[in-house]
Amino acid sequence: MVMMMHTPTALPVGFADLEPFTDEWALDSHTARMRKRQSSDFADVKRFYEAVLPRAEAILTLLESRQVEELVDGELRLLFLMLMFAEVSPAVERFGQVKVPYGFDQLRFPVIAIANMTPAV
Amino acid sequence: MTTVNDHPFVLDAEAIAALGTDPVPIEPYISPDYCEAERDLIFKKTWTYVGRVEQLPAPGSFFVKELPLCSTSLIVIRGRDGVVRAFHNMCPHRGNKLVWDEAGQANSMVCRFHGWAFRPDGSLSVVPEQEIFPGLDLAACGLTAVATDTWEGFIFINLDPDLALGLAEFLGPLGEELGGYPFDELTTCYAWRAELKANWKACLDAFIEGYHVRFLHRRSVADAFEGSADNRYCDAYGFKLYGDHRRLSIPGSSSRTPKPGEALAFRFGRPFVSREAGGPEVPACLNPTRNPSWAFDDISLFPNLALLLFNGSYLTHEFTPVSVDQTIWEGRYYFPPARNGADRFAQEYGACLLRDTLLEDASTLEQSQSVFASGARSTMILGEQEVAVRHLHAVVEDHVQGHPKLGW
Repeated sequence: MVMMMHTPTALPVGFADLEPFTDEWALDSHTARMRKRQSSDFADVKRFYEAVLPRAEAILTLLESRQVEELVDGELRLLFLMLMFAEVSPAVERFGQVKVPYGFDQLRFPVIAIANMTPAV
Repeated sequence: MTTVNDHPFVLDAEAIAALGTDPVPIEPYISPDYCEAERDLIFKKTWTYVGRVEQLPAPGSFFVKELPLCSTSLIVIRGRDGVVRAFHNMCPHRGNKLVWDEAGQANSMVCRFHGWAFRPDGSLSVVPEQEIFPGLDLAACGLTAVATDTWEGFIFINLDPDLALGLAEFLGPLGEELGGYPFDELTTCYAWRAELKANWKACLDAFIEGYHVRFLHRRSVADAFEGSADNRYCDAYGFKLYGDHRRLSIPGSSSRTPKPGEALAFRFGRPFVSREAGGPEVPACLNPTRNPSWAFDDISLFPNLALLLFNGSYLTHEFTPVSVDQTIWEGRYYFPPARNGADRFAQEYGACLLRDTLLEDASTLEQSQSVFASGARSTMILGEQEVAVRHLHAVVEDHVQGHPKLGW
């Protein structure tokens, strides 16, 4: 019998319950996260938000003890999950839908990189 | 109105009273002739913000700034001597646009047409096959320089070869008053850009009054900018005019209950709407009336920059005109580098909430422009809370009529 190995995508010990969300939601750029929210059904966005919310304090307590630059593998993926949580929070907490109601088209207002100033992660 | 939540509504009553209370004309938003006058008498004459010094970390660092209304493009580049300069982005040889990248690092700028090369100080260094240009004076064939200066790390340019006044004089007392703000610590930013089918003044108008907050932002952030637990409105106060520039303060409520994600952001970092905003740690250059219910100061530097200074972060909104009904909007959110992974989350929370709020702000701009020219109304009505809009229009009119108030 082959022992189960941790793949590089595995979340740190104690956060395995969030593993089903990582492939789809632990995205590594602001633009990818924005597009994911914009192209998702609200029910899926809400399910993700509600899965992360009760675990957020534990995740942030772990992340608080790390510099952003030293985060790798599963811990980095936890950060990406929290950044996605930040992306969807206004939709769930304020708008009750994916897009800003009657808002300007998000896709016409893209984030742009500013040399030496935009966060690397 | 004399006070808002017991804080003075205006700090220079006489100057503000002089603006009057008449409706303001819509013509300046829709007239191509008016826009041409703005181009010649404002955008080709005054100091204009183009970027931050942090964008140019080393000699040879450059970015390109497009100024379509003025039919030019500028290269803003740090020289080997450390000095930031700006040049028209045009090769003196055959007039080709010299630099095509938006930003980068270059020891030498080489024209893609025939290979003429220029140093970061604008001087011509290489002409391939120079012998076919007998008598060519290389020293006279450098890039055309544009007046450039910095204030608190903000880079300004002035297209006027006969400069009427220097940058420090242009910014005047307002520039001095804001001197203590820690711009140099807020070295990280998110930026967004949109091309809007709207006049540049209509865009700026939306960012220099708080009257819209209670309604347009009722789903997003209106509750963060209430004046107090008793006052459910975002009524601005502390209005002050500084020649062509202006400043006002926006209230902030510390009594509200944050949303769950927001509460986490407050606990682990500092998103843009700070809860303890009016507290004693606010830099002395902000919140001039020392209102405990304070969120940020809203400053507009003539002609086209809005500067929203929070405690610990700031925003810039830059509206670059393209034509009478087209504007390039670049909004930036500046904050300190993340202290740790949890702080990075708080930043992202602030950035996403801000961006969604800006999508509400932007929603009305093209809709308004699409009916401005209907002929149904020739004026718009401005209330006391919209006095900064009135002032913007008055100073634009002063310039267009050829009698700007220059200097102090």
